[in-house]
Amino acid sequence: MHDGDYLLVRKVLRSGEIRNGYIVTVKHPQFGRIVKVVVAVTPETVKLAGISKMSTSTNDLGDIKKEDIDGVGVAVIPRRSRDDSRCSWFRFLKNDEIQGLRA
Amino acid sequence: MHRFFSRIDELVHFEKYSAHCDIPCKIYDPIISQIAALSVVRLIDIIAENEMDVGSHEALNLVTRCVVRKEEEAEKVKTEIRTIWGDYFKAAQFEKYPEVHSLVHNIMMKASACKQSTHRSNALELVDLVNEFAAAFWDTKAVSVEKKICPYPPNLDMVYPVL
Repeated sequence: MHDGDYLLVRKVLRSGEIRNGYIVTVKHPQFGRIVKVVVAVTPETVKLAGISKMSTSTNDLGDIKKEDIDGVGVAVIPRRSRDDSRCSWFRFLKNDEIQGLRA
Repeated sequence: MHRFFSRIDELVHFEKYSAHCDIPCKIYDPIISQIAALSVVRLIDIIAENEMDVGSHEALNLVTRCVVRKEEEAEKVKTEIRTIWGDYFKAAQFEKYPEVHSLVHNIMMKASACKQSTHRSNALELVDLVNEFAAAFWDTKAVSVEKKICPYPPNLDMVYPVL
């Protein structure tokens, strides 16, 4: 994902549906509205990480209450497509693809 | 497709989410602005301490260097404070320190005053304001602070985190 991309999200209806590897939009008490990846799930909270290695660490992001998660990413509409052959005008998000981005 | 969503965005204004911050690893520290504010005081002191023949090349060189450097250090104060205020401070911190907006504005004004003159009082007030900002910043991170005299000229009271 890059600056200016649109991320299509679906609302979280049940907290139990949040899984590791999901890209989520969060209203974080310190960092405001952020996009991160779920890396651990407990009954009440989740832990997050960034896609980029330069992202704020999981420890600094802290434990996030599930109710602070706004939505789960479904697809990306990239701003540019010519630099990346995998990018098209519309791209569904898959867990294995997200793990690949983080590697 | 992106153009289509851009048009809708212009009409309904989608909520914006950030995937990253400006500075990697969340490194924010007011010490850069504190040292810059101290430097402004020191540069004004150097100008005052060197009462030389105002027409000499040596004097011109020294004063010019000090004034140019003072300009840079005062600008550094403004840039660093604006970055922390704009990027680090968010709703939770503003709630705790609602007066931070006026404090930051006062720092901007005082740093500009330091550029415009060589009055030491302006620079001392700038140091006080930046120290006040530093104390607020560390408090938002639940880090206590202490006041210590900096171990180099101009030997002023500074706010340091107790780590």
